Amino acid sequence: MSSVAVKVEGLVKIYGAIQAVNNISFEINEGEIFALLGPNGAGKTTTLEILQSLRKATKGSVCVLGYDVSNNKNVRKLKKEFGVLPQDFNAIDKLTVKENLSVIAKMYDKHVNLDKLILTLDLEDKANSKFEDLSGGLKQRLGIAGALVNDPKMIFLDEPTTGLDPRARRDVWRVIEDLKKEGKTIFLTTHYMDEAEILADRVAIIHKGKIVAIGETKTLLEKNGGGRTVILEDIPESIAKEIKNRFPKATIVGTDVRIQILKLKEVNEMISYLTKKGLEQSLQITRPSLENVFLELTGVHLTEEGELA
Amino acid sequence: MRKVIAVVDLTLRSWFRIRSAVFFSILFPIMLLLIFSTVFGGDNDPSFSLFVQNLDTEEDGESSDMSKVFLEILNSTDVFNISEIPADADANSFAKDEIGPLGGVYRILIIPEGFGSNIVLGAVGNRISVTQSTIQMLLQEERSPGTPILGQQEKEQIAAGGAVLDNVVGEVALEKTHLVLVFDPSDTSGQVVYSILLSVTDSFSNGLIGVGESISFDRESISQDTFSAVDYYLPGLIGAFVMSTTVIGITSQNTEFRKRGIIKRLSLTPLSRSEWIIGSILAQTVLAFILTLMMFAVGWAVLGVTAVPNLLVVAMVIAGAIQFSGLGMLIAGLIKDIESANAASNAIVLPMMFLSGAFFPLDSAPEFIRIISSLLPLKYLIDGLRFGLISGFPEGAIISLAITFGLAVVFVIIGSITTKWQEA
Repeated sequence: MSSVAVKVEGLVKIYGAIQAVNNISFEINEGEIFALLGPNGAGKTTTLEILQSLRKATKGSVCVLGYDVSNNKNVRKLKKEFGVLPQDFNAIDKLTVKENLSVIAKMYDKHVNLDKLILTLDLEDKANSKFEDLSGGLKQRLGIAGALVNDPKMIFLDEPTTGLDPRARRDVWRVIEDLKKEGKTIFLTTHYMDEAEILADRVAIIHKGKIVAIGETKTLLEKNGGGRTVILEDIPESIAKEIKNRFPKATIVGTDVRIQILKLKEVNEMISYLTKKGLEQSLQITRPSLENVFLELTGVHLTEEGELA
Repeated sequence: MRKVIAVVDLTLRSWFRIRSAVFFSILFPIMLLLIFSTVFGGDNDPSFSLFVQNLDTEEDGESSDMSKVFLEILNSTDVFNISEIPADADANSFAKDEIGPLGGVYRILIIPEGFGSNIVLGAVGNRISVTQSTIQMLLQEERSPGTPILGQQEKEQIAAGGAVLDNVVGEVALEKTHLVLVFDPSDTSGQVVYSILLSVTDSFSNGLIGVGESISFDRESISQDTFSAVDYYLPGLIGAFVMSTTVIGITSQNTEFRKRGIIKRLSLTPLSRSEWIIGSILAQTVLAFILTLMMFAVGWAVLGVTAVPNLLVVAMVIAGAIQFSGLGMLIAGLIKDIESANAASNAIVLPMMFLSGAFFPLDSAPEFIRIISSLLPLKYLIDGLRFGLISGFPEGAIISLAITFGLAVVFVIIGSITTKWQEA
């Protein structure tokens, strides 16, 4: 059985009248990718920053790599052992990729070979390019390289692919998967369901500061994925309402209608209905996803932008 | 130390790649030094045009001897470029008709009728008054207590002579001579011209009664070195731009790095807040030195600057850079928005430059301006640099140095408190 890298118990964070994190507890095992999934403002970054000792917890205990983060002496030691990709990562515009990495590297007693690191992240062609001249995807890769400079045991990635185009996202996913193969423990926050589903060994779904579900991704999908989902795209409003009346489980998201289907009989009924309406071509059937899990647990949809719908 | 040097390195590297920062912090001060030295410097003393209408003439229409002497003295100052207006011309009309169309400002000194005779009579009366005072002292003086210098008979004879002098004084009673200066309200040098004329006439009067031996203006300095005009501008410019470079530099870096999450990223490494602060201040101090050296280099090579920095000057630049880095940290700590923080730093820096006497002396400024100036930290940096560089009395910089270091400690402490390394 693998040992625990992070242990969080009864964590609470209050800003004035706002309770950003509401009594959450979880553990992260060494060598796993753990995703904290939730909409914007759910408390993901606050939780992450408490783990990184950037913020103080109002209540509760947080232990990272064996260090209690409320102790300042521990924090100094801990910072040598983790790597961080902050949300909306930025580096110094006028410095090159290599110079920016060198700045981070000089803050540690020991660091990896920067040329090798640049090669690993496929940044060799841009090593001498200024940060301000990089594309979003390359900037994010430099951010991940910065998180690896000290050869950390644990890596915190805060929304690592937000704002990236699909290709750049896939590139970043590949890098994260490679890190897992190297045995790194990764704590990832994201509002992208697919990201958590593809990368994470375990997922905690956080909503309004509370963890509403936690477990292995596969288990969550089986338990709360709600079977397959029929998606009807570009449906006129009147028909959408008619479908909702006929299939009460249906939810309307913009011009789409989504219905979780548990039984094959219901799928057949749906196809026959749509054929009658001449809408059979707008039908898609998807397998269970974290999107369904989120919907099942919170009753609301999570948009691509991380907002609730 | 390695981490502090890394902070210095990242600051300097990124700073030198921002063209506008290099221009405004190094090239602009050098340009200003060149402009100041060209406009106000050089070997030529300032020359003011002055029209003189001499109404003090003899019966044959010739100027009186005394008024001629006065004009010669005015000429000998080399401050005025004098042209004469005919005695029968109306001064105001002449100014409007003859000078106005040339586009210049007019200054007309009118020497009144009777100027010479009044001056002579006044001088004689003054000398008699001095003689009377001397006689009185002689009559009362004792060689030793109870033993007068003069005998009773001598005293009586002298007193009789004094009574004769009293009668003469009554006849040569001093009548004040009024010179008239007609000036153009738009003449920005009017006050300076008036002050110089006052000084010349005082010297002239004193010379006549024998108080002064000369009425020429000898410029003397307690310094043994010979400095050019640009030497006098250099300390003010160095002080002003050490301030602007460090205050604006650290304010813009801290606010931008904070907004873009770079400070947060660095705070997640083993770099501590104190190492970041020390590194930032050290980087600004290096920049202040580069600026100072560049200004001296251009001054020595191009402008004939002869002042040479000593250890006190080096200490003043260090103290000034630390002090204003602390002020920059304070501004950045209090104002989170980049644009607002930069506007605030400019709003502090620019008035301070003018109110601290960086570009021109404040000796003739109103009292309240001088009081404000004495409350500004830049004044002590500039004072210290002037003492250290050109006063010939470098020890005079020690008080300014002590004040600047004291303020540096205060600003750095307050600036450090406002520099957050951990979120709320």
